[in-house]
Amino acid sequence: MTPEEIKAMVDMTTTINLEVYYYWCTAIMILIHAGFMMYEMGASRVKHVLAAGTKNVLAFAYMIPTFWLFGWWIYLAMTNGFIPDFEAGAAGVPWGENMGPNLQDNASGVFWGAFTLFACTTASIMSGSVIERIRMTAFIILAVVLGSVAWILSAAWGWHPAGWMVTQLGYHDFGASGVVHIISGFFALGVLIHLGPRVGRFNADGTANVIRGHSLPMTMVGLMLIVVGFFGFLGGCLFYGGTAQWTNIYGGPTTLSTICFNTLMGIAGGMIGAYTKTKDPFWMMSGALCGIISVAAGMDLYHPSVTFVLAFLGGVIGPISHNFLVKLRIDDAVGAVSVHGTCGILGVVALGVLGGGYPPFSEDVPTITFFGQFVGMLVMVALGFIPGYVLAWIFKSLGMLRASDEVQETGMDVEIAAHAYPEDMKTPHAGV
Amino acid sequence: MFNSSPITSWEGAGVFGTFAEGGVGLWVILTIVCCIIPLFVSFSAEKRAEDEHK
Repeated sequence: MTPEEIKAMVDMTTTINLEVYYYWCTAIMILIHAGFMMYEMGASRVKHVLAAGTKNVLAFAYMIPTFWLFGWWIYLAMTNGFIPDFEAGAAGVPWGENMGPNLQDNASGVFWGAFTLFACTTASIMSGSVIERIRMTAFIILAVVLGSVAWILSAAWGWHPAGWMVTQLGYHDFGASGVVHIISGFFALGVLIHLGPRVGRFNADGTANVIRGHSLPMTMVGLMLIVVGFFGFLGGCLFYGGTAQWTNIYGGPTTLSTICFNTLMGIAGGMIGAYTKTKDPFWMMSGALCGIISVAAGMDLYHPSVTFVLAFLGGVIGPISHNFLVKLRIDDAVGAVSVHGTCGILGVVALGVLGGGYPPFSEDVPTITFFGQFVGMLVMVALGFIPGYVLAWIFKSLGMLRASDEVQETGMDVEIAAHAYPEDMKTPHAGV
Repeated sequence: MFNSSPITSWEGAGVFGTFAEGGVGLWVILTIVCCIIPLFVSFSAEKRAEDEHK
């Protein structure tokens, strides 16, 4: 073989390694969605269980074509703010040569796939909090706006080497504490304010009733699947471009070993922290998410002991935040606002303290600072909350947002053309 | 405002985890504490459950 042929073979091996890596990251990330579906269905009462599952699957299904139609374009074109750069976005238009079969492009499809699954995750996060009373059509539109517009706009700003938050603020968010979790948590909060609580959740005097889902074991297994899926999610936050080292999405050096240390330590710290606070199996498993979200922003930089302690704190704070929302009469059925929104804030801001002063990855980027992380957090909160709040208000005004109390009492599954369980279990179709 | 970085440049960096060059011992101790405290909480909860069901 000539040196040129050997070089071409090495280059192709590198390209195929990259392609294979992201292909399987995407497949593993689908476990997050499977997990969220089980989580939500388990947290629903029998009479609502299929509606919860159907809603979740449709969020997944709608995210894929909409992310192909305009989501990927937003990521490439909107790095400067709200004014699109059409030249940069050209590679993301659905009729472009990169958005389909192309023997010269091994990267676009797998990157698009991985980002699409991030979008599915954001939509799933909102999905759990609104179970048992949201109407399907409004939900699908909200999910599309969250997953294929709001999250990817935040990614263009803060999860792209050329994003204005990165180049102006030095914003750092390796595992998407802000760009995925704050966005989806606060979008859900905006929706919940207009959606209102499930029938029977709160008494006239303001006290809350506990509404138990029909299968806590299903919820726990679902959360464990999400934990598995996070290996695809966080693995997908790395990039290998054939250089000497793995890099984060900003081009800074890191290793898969670093991410492995910190993913496992984050999961464990969150579980133990939430167990210590609540001794409730639901929160213990949600604590895994609290933990990983609390450390995700800086898990390419943290020492594993720092990760564990911070994740432990996240596992304690998640349920405290949820109880606070209950006192405000906000009915978040699975605690998504606290798990993702509050712990996302912790993750982004904590990095300003624990990772402040790290050198920039390129000459165009400022160093990580508390100020940059704090301002970045505020931007994420606004970018998540405002669209959710405004859209939900519009749907509420049109009478499209909330199922009637009668349907809620009978069961949302009356709108579903199937039965969840055999006839000996209580379902609305069985007339019980 | 805060400066937790043990390195000043990525050029030639090796060990760079937060506080890896100093103060890591404190975080390791905190990790151990975070593992031990839940055991006391758990013991207290199971003892209470045992007492209530005697």
